[in-house]
Amino acid sequence: MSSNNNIAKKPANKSAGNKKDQTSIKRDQRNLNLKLFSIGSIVLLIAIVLVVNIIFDSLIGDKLTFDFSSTGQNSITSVSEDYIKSLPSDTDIRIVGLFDEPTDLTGSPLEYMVPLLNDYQAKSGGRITVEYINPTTHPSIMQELDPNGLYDLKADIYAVEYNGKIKTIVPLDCFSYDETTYYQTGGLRPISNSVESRFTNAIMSLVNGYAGKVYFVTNLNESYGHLMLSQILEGIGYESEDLPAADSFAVPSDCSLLVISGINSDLSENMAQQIITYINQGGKVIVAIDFMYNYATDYTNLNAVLEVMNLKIDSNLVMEQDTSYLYNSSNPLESKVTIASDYTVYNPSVTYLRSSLNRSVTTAGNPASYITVAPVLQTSDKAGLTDISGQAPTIISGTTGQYNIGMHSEFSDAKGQEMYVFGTLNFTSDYYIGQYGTTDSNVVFIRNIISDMLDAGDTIIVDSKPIADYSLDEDKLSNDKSTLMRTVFMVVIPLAMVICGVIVYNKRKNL
Amino acid sequence: MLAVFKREFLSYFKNPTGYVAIALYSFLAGYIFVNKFAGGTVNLSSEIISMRSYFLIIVPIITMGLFAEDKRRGTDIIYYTSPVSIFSVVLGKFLAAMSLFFIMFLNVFAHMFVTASYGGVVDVGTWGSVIVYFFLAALFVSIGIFASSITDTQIISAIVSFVILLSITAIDRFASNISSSLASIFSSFGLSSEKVNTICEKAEKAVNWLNPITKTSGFRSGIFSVAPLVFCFSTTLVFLFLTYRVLEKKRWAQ
Repeated sequence: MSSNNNIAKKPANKSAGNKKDQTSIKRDQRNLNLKLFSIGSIVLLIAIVLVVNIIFDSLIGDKLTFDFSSTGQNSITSVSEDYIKSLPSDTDIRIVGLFDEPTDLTGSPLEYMVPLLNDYQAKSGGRITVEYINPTTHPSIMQELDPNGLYDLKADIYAVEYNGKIKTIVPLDCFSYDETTYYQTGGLRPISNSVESRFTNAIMSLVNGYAGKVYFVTNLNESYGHLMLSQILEGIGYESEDLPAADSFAVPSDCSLLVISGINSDLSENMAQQIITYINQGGKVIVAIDFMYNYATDYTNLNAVLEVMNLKIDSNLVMEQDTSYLYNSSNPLESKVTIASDYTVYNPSVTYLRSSLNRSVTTAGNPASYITVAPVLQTSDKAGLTDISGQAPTIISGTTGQYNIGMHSEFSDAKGQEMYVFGTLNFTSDYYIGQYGTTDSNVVFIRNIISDMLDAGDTIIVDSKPIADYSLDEDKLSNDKSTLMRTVFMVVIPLAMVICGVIVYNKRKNL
Repeated sequence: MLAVFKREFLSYFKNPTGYVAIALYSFLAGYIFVNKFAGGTVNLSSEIISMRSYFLIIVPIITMGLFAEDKRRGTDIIYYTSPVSIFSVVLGKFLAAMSLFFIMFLNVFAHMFVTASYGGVVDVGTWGSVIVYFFLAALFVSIGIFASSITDTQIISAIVSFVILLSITAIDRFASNISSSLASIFSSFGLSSEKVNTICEKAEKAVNWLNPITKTSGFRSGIFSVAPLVFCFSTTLVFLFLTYRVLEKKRWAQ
């Protein structure tokens, strides 16, 4: 019986086992399907996300990038954009940073350059490409850019290349720095940013070429540099070069304009003679000398040069006494100067310009009929020459009157000799232009004068940009307020939260 | 989802976690702000972007318990038995963590108010930094939630999320190491050094492309770019989806 029963039960057990197996297999299959679906969906999502991001980045990433900086430091102005778009569409300008592409720009001058150059590329319609190639790891880039070794290419600079011609741009040269900080601490505190101006001017000079060359007399203890004025000149199509004082000094024959700005030592007799020769051959000169306490130089040889044009620069400091001409009543050494009526054409939007540490400019007693001399900038009629021998500058008795701070002289012959002399550096120095920017009235005035002297025609001027200023109002700040902020944000709020946490913990720990 | 959000958000304040997180964030953010304030210059964009480094500490604290604690107590069974979808649970918890982040960020709004009242700059660039900061926070919180979903121990969850976040912040170093390793490998094949350098630079760039920190550093100087926001948003979705898949796995992986 039992064996019969066993025989009878066997098929039933087998059938139940099969069902169980089938259910298990079905479940395993279902789990496997779900697992595959799960893994597949994850892989698919990651793939979609990668593709979407890559496409977004490469196709519309640049178009959906905006410059929200207060100074516009990350984007090019319409002046540059319009100029670049005016170039033929097949123009190929290559900007190569001769270093690795930086990933962290914080605190580096490149913070102002990398995003701006990306904007050049994005807005150029394919005319400009920006690359970063480190010559240490890719030495062939030097040969590729400059096969004949004509340019001074080196690491850590930018090279702008067009049709085999190259302009180099050193990042640190794209800023003007606070000279006071430099002299006091040796540190570089940028006060304005001319990155766009440098690159647009470089592109312009490569594409259009230079109309001429302006030389700056140097190595005579100049107070400030002339980088900003050089950039302005580049904007009007003129290349700049230093002409250092030397025994063999001579004014080159390709000199379109000679600038003597901020020198604190006199010219040598030879230099004066060479410059006189240059003037007699039809030269154009701009002279700007202010009054520096440490260098109360008489400039005998320089005045010999100026005398050729019937001009003279005085050795005394001019101080303004009319308070309506002062920007700050406690500082009579910085004042307004009136633009003479014949010269308002160079900046019709203003009547006054800003002048400081003035020397007066006068005629030199050379009343040749072919020389026309005219005042350009004048003080009020209450200004006076100053005695600086005491603790505070005082007006020398009997010197009160109107003084010329800028004068213009030109020959009436066909050679076109011309000279402007300014008794202030507020038109030519990096210190001033860097501080007030290239849209400042003084800068517009000197730029138009130079354009007129050089007959420069249409010019493209890219203004320098200020460095973002995040300073708080000094009048509202004090040590007490700093302590208060420290107490509130670092003690009171955190402590209050910790106390709340302890109270909550104690109340709820037994729940 | 709202019920999950409400429960999780309130739970932050029914135990010390929320208070400690706010206290810590307030102290750290205050440290940066007060030092700048005392120096007389406050660049809020820079301050906000600098605070990305605090994610390493804050995110593990606020996300470690989100799923790990439920798993430890066994209350995660509710996810599978209640009528809400698992993705709604994930989203609810994510939004709760983000809301806590917003409350912590009120400190920075206070810094902005103080800066403005002391004549400092609070401009559109600052608001751009705030936006990108929240996108980054979303990405990092989603990573923290993912870390919480793969374990049933809060400490392990915190450690895992810390390690992932640390790895993300060190992607540039990894990229550099990968580049060096590739250089030695390719050099052995006899390729010219310039070719090797080109390959290595491209590899380094490709790895760095994944770095949300590098992608968003431009916001510090006022650049507002949509691409990093898309990257953060889409990567957040990936990690939330991964979390969902980890939880969903329990339905079939037994």
